[in-house]
Amino acid sequence: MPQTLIPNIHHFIGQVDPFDKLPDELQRQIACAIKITYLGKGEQVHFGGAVDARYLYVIRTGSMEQRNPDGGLRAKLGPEDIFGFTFLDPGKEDHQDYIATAIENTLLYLVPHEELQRLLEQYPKFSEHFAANAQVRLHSALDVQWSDGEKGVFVKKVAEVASKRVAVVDADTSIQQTADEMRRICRTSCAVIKQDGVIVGLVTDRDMTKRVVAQGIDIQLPISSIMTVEPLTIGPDDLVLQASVVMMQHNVRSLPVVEDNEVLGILTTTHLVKNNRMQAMFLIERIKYSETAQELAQLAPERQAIFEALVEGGVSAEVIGHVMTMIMDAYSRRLLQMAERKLGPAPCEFAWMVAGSHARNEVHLLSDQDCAIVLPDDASESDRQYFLHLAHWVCNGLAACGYPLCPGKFMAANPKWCQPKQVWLAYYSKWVASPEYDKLLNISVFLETRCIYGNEALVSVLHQHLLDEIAASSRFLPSLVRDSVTVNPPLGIFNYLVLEKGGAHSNTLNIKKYAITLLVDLARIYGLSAQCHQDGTEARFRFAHEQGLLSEEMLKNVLGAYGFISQVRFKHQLTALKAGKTADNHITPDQFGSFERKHLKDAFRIINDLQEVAKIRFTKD
Amino acid sequence: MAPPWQYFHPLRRLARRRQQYCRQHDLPPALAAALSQPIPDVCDDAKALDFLALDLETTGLDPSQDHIISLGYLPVAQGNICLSQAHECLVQSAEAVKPETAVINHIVPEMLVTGTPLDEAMDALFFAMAGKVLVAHGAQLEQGFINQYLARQYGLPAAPWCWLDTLAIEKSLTVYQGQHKHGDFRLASVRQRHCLPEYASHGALIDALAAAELLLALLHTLFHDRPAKIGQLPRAQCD
Repeated sequence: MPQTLIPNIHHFIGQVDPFDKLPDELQRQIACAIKITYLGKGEQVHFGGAVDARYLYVIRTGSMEQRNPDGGLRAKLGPEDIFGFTFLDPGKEDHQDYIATAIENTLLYLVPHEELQRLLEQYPKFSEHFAANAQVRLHSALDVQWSDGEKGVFVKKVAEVASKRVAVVDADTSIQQTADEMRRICRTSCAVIKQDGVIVGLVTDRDMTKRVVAQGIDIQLPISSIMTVEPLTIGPDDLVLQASVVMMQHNVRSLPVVEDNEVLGILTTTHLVKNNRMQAMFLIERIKYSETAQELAQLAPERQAIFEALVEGGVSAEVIGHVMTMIMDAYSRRLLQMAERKLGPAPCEFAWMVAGSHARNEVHLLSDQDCAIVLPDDASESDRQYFLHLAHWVCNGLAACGYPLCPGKFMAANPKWCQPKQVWLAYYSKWVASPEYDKLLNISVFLETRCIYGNEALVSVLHQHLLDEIAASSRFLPSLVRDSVTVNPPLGIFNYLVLEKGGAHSNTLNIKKYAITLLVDLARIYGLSAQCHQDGTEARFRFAHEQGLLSEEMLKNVLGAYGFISQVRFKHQLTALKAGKTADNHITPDQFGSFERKHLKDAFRIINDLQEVAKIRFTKD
Repeated sequence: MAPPWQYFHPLRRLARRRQQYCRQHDLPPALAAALSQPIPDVCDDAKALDFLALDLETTGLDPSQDHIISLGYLPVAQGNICLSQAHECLVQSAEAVKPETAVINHIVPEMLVTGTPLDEAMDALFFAMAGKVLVAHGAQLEQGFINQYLARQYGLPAAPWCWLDTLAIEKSLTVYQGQHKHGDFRLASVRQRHCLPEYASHGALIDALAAAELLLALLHTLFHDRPAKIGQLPRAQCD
């Protein structure tokens, strides 16, 4: 394109997502291929059926709206918004998905599809951004955030951080020879033990102290006699974050880096704590060794630091939720131990059961406490009094550590939720048998439960009972669906306002109520219907797909939407925290650029589609 | 087909003059191409016509003394402006660029040494004009310089061009609203009134694009979704 157009057209295109992801030269070539047209207010776009007349449309000035064939509003679009992806699908002949009408005089840029494809052939890695399919586009959006900016050690690959120095010895090597190999030859703190070429064990210098020297073991014995059998390993391409999660979960300090049974190196806690932020990952360890509730409360800022690092690192929502949950678990367990020490040992068995997002492994910075106690049926009234005291102490302790008390009082300190198993079984039977519309909200929190302390069997019995009751009830799931679909996602963001389905506007987006909760609800419905024993939102959707309840297409769409929306929410919370404000779920739309607007619209549409599908599947007659 | 009483409509007259012009003169091929296509009839829908939006940058306003230093043009087909067929060139010139115009168009003498020879640039323009109605904002200037070139290069009289002038069309709108003479009709100001984007840089092609977009907006303002009868549009007051 001649020189003078470049600063004008190219510059505009270069700031619109997804064109802004493309290299400068490609942006220039696309700008050269653009056609410009003008639509007066009320005029419609004529979507050409012929392949050579298909375009991606970018609004330069003005605004447009899309309506479904039945007249329902699909979206309102303003400057920098893009539409027409749907029509790029080669499977779509001249079938019209929607009608696009100018609602103001609009200057429209048309990017010819044929030309775009030809250009993208030279740059295949960018073609995902222009996929006809919303889910592929969402996926590419997640990828982009992933690779943006400074990632921090969390999102580095294990291979980048791990030491390549590791001793590998045979199982029948003596303890002393092994120590020599570690110390003198490899100068490493760990040795991997192989037998017939297969990894069978791991030994660390700590093991040498604890298991050999301290116990006076003969150092001529084979190393296999003192090694850790079948050690946990990690792959070179796994994220450091995953490795640290494994280390924390299993309380190990070294992980051999292994690929195809080949030892590539060793990852130890020392590699991780070199970075300050990684020290925060060992918060769990510090929680475990805290002696007073006050000490625990002082660790709260570290929890926030971890959250910030995870969000900034672009770590997936599932992993963020998982890490934050492990931390909350650690707090709860430590406080329970302290309470037992203070009040004396528990008079009988019990289970400390968490519910809601905590049970789903989806804790974030705003999560409040949802917990309960299940007692054996022979527990006496005075036993129950003990546990109410215990629960009070723990719940207040959690509150002091920055986990707000549950406003709905779904807490073990509430006598209603500190009950013997028999009562809990009756609760679940009653809830499933009479799912009154207005009560569902109250009990849905207990549709996900997880035991984090005490006798797990007390909780798993309840869960199985719930699934059985649901399977026997024809009314329960339809009620859940009806209840959930009374709230619809918005259509999108237009002119800095949230555009709702009826065409009304509001000036903040409650991303929890209008997006996250809807997906969590849908996952619950599908999960419970498929008798899924996992409670995680993504896990439930995956399970429903495996059981044939969700198409592969819909699964990918929904996971993409959930991932994107969670990320938007977390980023919003992060921004608030950094500005010294209280994080909340209310986002002002002027924070959204063209990137978020476009992908939120895709995500909202996917939620809406799944609501429709669920209505048909679960509520017919 | 327009009714017979439209015989004296300026467009009809222009068509007859052009036939005559082509018969009377031995035209060079490029100019013959530019003038070969018939002029649209009075009732033709302007929205369906092919246009060529054009802008010339010159050293001044007087065609007899000043020079063309840059040309920019691009076609509009069926209401779509095609950037892929946009063209712009600087004209090779030994003439000094006046400092006062250099301030406006940012073209300095050094840039013109490597430019296209004027004859080559004009031939390319004439070929691009074939079959198209010309569009410019304030078309008198473009027309004056083109006719001056015909006179100098070929000794030809002024050619019967078919122009649409966005400035004249805009004036007809505002006259309608009773605010004539003193209005601001500069391209950027007019575009702003029609809510068209502001273009940061200045040059022949970007101005041609600006005029093309303005034409599309004006056609809508005048005719909405009705056919835009070209005979009803004010044309450049210069033929």
